[in-house]
Amino acid sequence: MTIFLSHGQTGGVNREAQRDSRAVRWSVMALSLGFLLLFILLPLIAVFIEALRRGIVPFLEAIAEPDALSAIRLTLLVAAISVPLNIVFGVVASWAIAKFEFRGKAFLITLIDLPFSVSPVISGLVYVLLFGAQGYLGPWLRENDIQIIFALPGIVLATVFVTFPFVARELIPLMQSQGTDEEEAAIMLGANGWQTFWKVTLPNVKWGLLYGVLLCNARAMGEFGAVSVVSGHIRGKTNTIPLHAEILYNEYNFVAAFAVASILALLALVTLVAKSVLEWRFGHELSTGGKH
Amino acid sequence: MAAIDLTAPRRRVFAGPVAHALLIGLAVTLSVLVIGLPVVAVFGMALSSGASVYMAAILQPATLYAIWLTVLTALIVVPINIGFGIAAAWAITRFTFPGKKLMTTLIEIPFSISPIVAGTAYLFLYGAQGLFGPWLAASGIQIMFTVFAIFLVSLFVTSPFVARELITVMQSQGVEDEEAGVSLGASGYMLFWKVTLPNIKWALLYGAVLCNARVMGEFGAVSVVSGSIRGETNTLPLQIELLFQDQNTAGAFAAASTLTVIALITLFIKLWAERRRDSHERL
Repeated sequence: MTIFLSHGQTGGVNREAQRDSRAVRWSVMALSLGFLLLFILLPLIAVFIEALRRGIVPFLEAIAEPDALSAIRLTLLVAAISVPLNIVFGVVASWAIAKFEFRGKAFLITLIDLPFSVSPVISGLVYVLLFGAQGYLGPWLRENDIQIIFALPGIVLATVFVTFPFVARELIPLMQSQGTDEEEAAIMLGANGWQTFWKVTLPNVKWGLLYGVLLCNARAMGEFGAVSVVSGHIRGKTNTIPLHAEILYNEYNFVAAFAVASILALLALVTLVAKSVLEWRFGHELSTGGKH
Repeated sequence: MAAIDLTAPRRRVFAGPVAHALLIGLAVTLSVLVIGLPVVAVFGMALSSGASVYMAAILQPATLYAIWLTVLTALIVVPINIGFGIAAAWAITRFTFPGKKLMTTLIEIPFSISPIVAGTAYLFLYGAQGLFGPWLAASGIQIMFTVFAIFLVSLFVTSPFVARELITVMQSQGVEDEEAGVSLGASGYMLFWKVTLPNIKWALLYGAVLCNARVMGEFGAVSVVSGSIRGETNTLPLQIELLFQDQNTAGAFAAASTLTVIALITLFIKLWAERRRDSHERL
């Protein structure tokens, strides 16, 4: 009897709740889809439309132009240097943080996080302050004929700063959640530290590492603010793809600007697809669920 | 017994104290050199000419305006992205619909795209030569090179932060609490305020803080669409660069130090929210 009554009651309530939740459902869906279409998809599609508006030939010509090619080369070179640096650093830092106890660990984590909250302009500026002609180390660098600012080393430094946290942030939670049991087993079976790392630790975190590397690489190739401050915008020399796109735009060379921008957009899409594939296939191994 | 045996080697895992010290030393040294030192240098440089010069540089009208515009942008963009983040996370974690995976992927586009692309894309939509350009001109509406353009690109660049954070948390929490709420007769509205929101509040704060940091610090996308008109469309990062280009190093670093202070505050709120979020998840 009671069961029957309560069943009837919740049934009625449920109908009302269902109507409610349908209303919620539609408004939530409309809101999020509308936002996505309007603010994210539409602008992106616009880039490709504009790049290809005059047809494929001017598009290819714009990309094959020497300055554009040198920008692409520089961007690839910068990524090829700064991403491996950040991989090494990320692995070392997350290993130290996840598997050892030491004083100042919280401080180290805080430092690693800092580039996520500091404006890229500032990160560029501080390197000018340190290594520029008027900077702290400027006179010494000039005497030894080393150029850092307005040259490749400055661009790499600024990029490393900006992308510093990506790999480490991805690996720390992953390594922490995995614990040290497997490493301990390896040590007990007679493996040395080096073997433990290559045969146990690294295979355990490889997908998380790849995920972090993808994010790091996307940011390294796309970074504008920090690089713009230290690069000096020398055409064909210190211009990366994002800087080159901006220069072309400022010269009202729209087709070329959008063609170059579309390379970056394409890169982003490739990154995204690779990232999604990783998430779908190895989601359970990326236990952080994409927290960055 | 086995447990005791296992705790013994725990101290000497990973081959001895040398590797141990080396790893920690390397991590600490690199972080201090690449990140800590440069950030300290900002304050050193800003205060190198004395406190009065510092204050004068900050109280300069253009810099004050840039600070105000940056705060205003954050005040507008962060709440909108909180709204979007909640809606998107709710849709993705509570409903099933075709294209859900695609939507999850699309949300993250701004993370992997260069901000310069975001800026130029908006220029193409709303600029004078853009898709909507003629229509906007005919209606007498200007978006590009005004504060509205700054709001729009900031929205684009920071839209994934809250959504991304909430999707993770709401997925791991599941729907049991909400189902209990529904069976007890709660309306959708009540359900959200009394059940869902309290469950996700720390993750929400964490995402909002990250979003805020990025809004305030964004340079690339904003610089393309703002036109950098002093005292009109110059945000703090743009103002810093402008001052620096003018060889006004004291002014640039004074402005940079305000932005860095904001970043540090952000960082501490973030760490705090993160800790609360993680302890909340564990409960």
